[in-house]
Amino acid sequence: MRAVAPVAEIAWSDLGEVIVVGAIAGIGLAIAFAFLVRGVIQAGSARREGRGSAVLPNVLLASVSGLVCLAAVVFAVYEMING
Amino acid sequence: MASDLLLVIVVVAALAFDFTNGFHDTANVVATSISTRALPPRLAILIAAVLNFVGAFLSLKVAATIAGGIVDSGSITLQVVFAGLVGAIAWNLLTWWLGLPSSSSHALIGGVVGAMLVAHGPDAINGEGLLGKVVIPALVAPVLAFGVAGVAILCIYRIVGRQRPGPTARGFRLGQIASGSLLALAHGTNDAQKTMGIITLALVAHGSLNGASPDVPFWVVICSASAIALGTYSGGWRIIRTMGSKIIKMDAAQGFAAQGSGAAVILAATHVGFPLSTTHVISGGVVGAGAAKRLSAVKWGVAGNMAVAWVLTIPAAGLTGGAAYGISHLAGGGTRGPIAVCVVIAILVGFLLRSRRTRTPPPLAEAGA
Repeated sequence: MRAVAPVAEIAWSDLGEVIVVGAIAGIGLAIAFAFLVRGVIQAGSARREGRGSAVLPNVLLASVSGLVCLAAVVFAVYEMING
Repeated sequence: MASDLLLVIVVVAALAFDFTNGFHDTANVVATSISTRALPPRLAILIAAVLNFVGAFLSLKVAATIAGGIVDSGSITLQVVFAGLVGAIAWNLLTWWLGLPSSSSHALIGGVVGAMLVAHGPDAINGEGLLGKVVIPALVAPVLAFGVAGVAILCIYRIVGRQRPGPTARGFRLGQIASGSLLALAHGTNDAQKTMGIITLALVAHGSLNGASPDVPFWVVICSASAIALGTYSGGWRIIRTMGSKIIKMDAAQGFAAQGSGAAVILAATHVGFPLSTTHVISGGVVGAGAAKRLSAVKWGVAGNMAVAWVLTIPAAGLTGGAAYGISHLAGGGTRGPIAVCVVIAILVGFLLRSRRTRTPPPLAEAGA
């Protein structure tokens, strides 16, 4: 048995939070995933073309972007459970 | 004994609504993944059904009685809840038949408001609550998702625009599996709770739960999660077609932008317990992702039909809910009322099926004989 929380009538601050958090999360996730895709593709191309110096920065870009995406998903699930 | 039977009828109607909510809103979750071929249709629906089921267990924040704050909860009776559910189910089935994505939550609120108006008059309706919980979110949700998805797809095109199209599309298809799954989880978290709220409300009206601090019983969580998951698995193909290909022809990046933006907005809303319609959010996201690429890519006629359906949802479900309450009241209320409504619905469905059979042209061989 779990308690049901009451819902506020007109929650302007909640509305503002939804707009700000939704926009940052939605656009941020899209940017991070686009960089992940770009990093993976360019790292692959660089490896195939033998441009060794371009592999590492792109692998780094893909890794950091991938971690940001993963963190966003984990945070979203955490929020669903504990929010 | 009579009130126990009435409670059973209301719980069954609430689970029926939950089922229609599942198959009506399946499109929100899977349409973009299917249309960009990120997932095969059956697998997409299976994943959505499982994640809807799991999502229903994650949070109860939105489960605060759906009509609480909109109508005078002290005046709610089991007959009102039943009539409201009838209004919502009827609107869900009609919009499903027409292939139009509309909000199941608004249908439910419209049904309950209509039944309350007939039962207790306008004083039982909280106009401020209706404005804050329904009208403002209904205006904000599609516009916000439209804007977020639009900016998101422009950023994506800027970042990956010069990459080879094949690997880029494959990458975003993989991303869509994750964003679609997150969306399904968010949908389960958000929508299954509405049925939990309605059943809890019915249990309070019946006297089985304490009205001061009602807890959602575990069997209610299990039943609601199962009903929405089964409904999702049944798949609302008509609305999937509208969302997936009739509004815009999407590429994988647009699908990812629409789903990712939708999931982000829904989760932000769930976090603060703000009741946004998942249908409005995803539809806004799909149109935004299309319009940002090229305004003419969006079939504005279809988008306009959806907007008309959204505007009509509350009045139409309210009229049906009010009519259902009226029939129930004329039949003497109590348990007889809802039974009379069920009989009227059965007769109407019978007429509808019969008229469809009569209109079906005979097979050519038969016609020529």
